[in-house]
Amino acid sequence: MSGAASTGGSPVVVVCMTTALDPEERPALEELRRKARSVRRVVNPADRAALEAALRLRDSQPGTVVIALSLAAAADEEPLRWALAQGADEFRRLWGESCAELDSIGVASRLATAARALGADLILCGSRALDGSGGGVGPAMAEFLDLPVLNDVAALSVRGSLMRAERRLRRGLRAEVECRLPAVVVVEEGAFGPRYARLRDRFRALRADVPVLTPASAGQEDGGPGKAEPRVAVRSLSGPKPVGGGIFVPDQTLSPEAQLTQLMGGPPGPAGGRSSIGGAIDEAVGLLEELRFLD
Amino acid sequence: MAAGIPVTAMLLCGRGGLTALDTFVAGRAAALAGRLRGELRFVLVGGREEDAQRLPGTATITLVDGLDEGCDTGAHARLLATFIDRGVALLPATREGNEIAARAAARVGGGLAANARSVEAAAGSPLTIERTVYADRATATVALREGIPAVVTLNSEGLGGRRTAATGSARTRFAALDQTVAGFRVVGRRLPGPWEMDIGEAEVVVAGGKGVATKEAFGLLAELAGLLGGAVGASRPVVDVGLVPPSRQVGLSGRTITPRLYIACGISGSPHHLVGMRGSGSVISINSDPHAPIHALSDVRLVGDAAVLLPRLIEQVRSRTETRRAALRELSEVRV
Repeated sequence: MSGAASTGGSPVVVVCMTTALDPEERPALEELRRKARSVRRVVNPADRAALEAALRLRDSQPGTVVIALSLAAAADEEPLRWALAQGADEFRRLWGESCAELDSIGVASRLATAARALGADLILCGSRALDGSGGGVGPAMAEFLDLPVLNDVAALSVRGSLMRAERRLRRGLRAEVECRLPAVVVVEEGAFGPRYARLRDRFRALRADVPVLTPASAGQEDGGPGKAEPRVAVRSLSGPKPVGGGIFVPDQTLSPEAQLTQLMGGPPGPAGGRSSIGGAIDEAVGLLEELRFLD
Repeated sequence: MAAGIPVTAMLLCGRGGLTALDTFVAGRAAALAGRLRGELRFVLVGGREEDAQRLPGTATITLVDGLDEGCDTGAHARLLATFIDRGVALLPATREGNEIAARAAARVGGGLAANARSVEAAAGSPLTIERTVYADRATATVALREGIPAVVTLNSEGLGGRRTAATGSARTRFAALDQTVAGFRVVGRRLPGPWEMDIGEAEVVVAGGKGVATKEAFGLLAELAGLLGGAVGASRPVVDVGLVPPSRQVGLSGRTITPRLYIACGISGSPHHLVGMRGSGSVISINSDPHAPIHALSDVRLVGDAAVLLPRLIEQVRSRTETRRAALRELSEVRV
């Protein structure tokens, strides 16, 4: 893949976007199982950061073309128009019959093909979709396109075909990296707070035509990854696994008076039931180890 | 899933060798290989011969160069792809593990299931995993299609359960990485100090309240935060007396943060403070009052004087992070 930047033209930045369940909503499990349309969806927060990173690149390098690209059904088009309101030059929706039940590798394959067709010099993705937990689309796209991928990027600048980025690594470490375009960049959520859209841009976004690409028009060959039966399929959904901590609830089998006494006494004893200070410190160190904060 | 399916575990050894999560993944791989009656293979990234001795099952073990922090994972993904065949690959669900898994799955056209809490298989049925979805609102049981390669990353939710002890024998060999992979170049590394790092972007925030509102105590908090690569935060009373700048205040009149770990020292846990930190992944609370509301939110409660507990915790953390600090000092471009 060689984009415009390498030939001296205006660089093309493609931002991959998707929708996610509105974090403010509390849908019932049954609604999630049915993927009910009544559950409000919003632009995935991490993808908002990716779009903002692209817009800042354009601010610093006028002439850059920012294209928002989303593999989304028609019903998801409305929230994604947000990209146009924010200032994206174009918004392309990618959809076809084979896109309905794609897994992350299938999504990455189709987005990669479309990004190539759009002549992308730089592909930006959010770090993860709020609905899922994989965060694999960006790296998988890079592999399909045989491009380098930079994860956890918190700052970005491009000069000609050379990109510099700051990556936030584990345990506070920051790495400055250099890379030749084209490349795939996965943006750290929270590093690029989105700007406020102007009212007139919001109206413009509502009226704008959104061209729909099909995998075939984007150059996706039949039988590509994800075309047949999905590689990964959700068999069942159940309630979340109970987590430790939270609000202390007294023993429900006790009398109301005893429950009140227990409530007034606060949560169970020191150090989660451990009586010695050494035991409590060991427990804290165990948690640090589990979270990989120790060597 | 049919019998005779190979299982490969790629383990990303820390500077101190195999981590607890690596050991857990290795155990699951051995169990899976037993059930699928397939060959068991381990790829130890940055591992040493003595790490290989700690692995379970009868396996083929391949040692490869480690991943320096922040470096490109492309060569490791390609190497893993050569091991997968039509089998199963397991990795720890770390940043690097998830990245390598996605790249390898794309390369071999396999199924990807990231951040799973468990993985199960039985002969004649598809591989199934369990993972949290919809921003922790539900648990999904996910099946991977039969007959294609499967790449699964396991998170630490299953830790503390079954662990397989080292048994059996192993054949160990070394492998070279493909150096032609187009990647990026690290030109510098930097470790911001605990007073420099923003609390909104820190993985760990060590916060102090009225119970530790002295310059000396905050020196200890900064030392702990520095060892963990985190930032110092505070509750409102500490900011009000001018000990900590307002940009580090956590709570309703300060900032709302969601670090992976929040360590609260001398903070009772008023509702105004809890609003700002209740989205934290895990919480350790240190408070002399056993009935302090902060304890109800915490995963580990340390009840006692912070002036006594903190130095002991720092001492333990210091000894367990020395290897990494020494390694970072060796990298000439790191500004620590």
